[in-house]
Amino acid sequence: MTAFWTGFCALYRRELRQDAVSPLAYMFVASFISASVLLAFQVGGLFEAGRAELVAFFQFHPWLFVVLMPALSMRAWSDEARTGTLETLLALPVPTSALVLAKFMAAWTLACLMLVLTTPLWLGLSLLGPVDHGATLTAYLGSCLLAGAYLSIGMAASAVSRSQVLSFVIALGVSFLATAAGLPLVSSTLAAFLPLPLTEALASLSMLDAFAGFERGVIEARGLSYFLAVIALGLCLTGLWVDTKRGGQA
Amino acid sequence: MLKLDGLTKTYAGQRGVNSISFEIAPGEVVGFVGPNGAGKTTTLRMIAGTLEPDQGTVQLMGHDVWSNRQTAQAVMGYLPEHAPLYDDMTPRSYLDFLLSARGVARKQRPDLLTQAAKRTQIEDMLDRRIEGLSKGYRRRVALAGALAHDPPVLILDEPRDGLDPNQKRVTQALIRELSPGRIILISTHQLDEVANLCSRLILIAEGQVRADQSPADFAAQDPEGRIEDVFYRLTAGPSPTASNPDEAQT
Repeated sequence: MTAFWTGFCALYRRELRQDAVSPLAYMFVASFISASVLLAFQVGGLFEAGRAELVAFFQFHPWLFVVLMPALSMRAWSDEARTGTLETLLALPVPTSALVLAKFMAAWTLACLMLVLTTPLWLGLSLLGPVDHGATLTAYLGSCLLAGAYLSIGMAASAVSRSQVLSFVIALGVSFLATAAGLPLVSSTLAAFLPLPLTEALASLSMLDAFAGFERGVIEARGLSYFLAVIALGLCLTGLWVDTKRGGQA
Repeated sequence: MLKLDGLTKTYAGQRGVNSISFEIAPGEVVGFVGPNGAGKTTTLRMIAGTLEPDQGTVQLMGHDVWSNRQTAQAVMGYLPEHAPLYDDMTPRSYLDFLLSARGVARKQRPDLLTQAAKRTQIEDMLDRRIEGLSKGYRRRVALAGALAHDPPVLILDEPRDGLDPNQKRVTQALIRELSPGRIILISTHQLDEVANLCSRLILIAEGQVRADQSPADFAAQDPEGRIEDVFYRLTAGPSPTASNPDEAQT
């Protein structure tokens, strides 16, 4: 194996093991499952709709992820910098890209596992009526990509500062803006100050807009490329900021 | 061969390390001494590939640390300042993580791990959480991490800091045992350690090399052979005194 893969696999396993023994990871998973199910039933009216579909469940994911993904990623790099273990990682004969990807993939694995743990809701619903399994699976795929996009923003924010709190606040702010840009209220407010094409362009960059197709059970090339682009951008920024630490500037 | 040529690092307009050059051949144990803030750790970090120099080069066994970083880091064991560790791991899992990240085959890892644990005398603590270890054990776990892959070059930043006298003696014996055929560079404040252990002493102050000679020749600059007085004379002030540093300041 190359230095990239040996380094990636070693750090990926380490991060997963850290999550496995961390009460925070369990609390995080429990919080997501309980909040998403509660919102789906209490606010989304999952049963009241009278249809065997999970739109009421998925529609809250962007807003839950705005808070939960920065919480999941805030420690990733800031803790390494604070405790000095970043020095140990940077002294390994491993490319920075492998370290960045390993941390991201480990956090994304946990996020995907968290989504998998909500599948009993899907199974339960399928007992009550005919569920469009293809559409539901697509919505799960979209939710995984959405979580990845928010995580990559969180990873980049975590690489900026040694403070977990500051990393969380930065990631929360950026994630909120990237989500709220698609709300009609925000679009109409912005339209009062900005030219219409620019307002529309900003709205089209929203996570909500990219997730909408998946939510309906449609894999749209635009949504897919949007999420992959956000993930790639977040990881590139993380790599740049981690390498900046080698330059002694951050 | 470890070769530094014109190594320079500037922080906020101030030169932390100013054009440092020296060479170390295999078999040499070099004590790297200097007052706080002299640039020792900065120099070691540039050698270890965790901090990029503004100017100058570091060649390690023929590989440039910055243009061929991973190859150079593969032949190096590095103990960073303050011996940072992952508190959630055990020494066994930590050493296994470092070995696997370095691409050591799974079959070889247990033997190398046992050897490093035996050398640093941490066998009885291998399966305890690092979080609960004493400062001395933590330092020895970090040292085990630096030498676990049996590297030909060891860069050690304060390896005996926090150790009790017995542990210091053990560590000194270990470094002596490791020295044949290896390049060992030790940053330390303990001049007695340099006198007893090192074949050569490099003194830096204000980012520049002030002395590069054997500890015996260094001490011989003082009429009474006091290494501390020579250190003081070369680092603390322009007016030297043979025996009382306080007088020199008045």
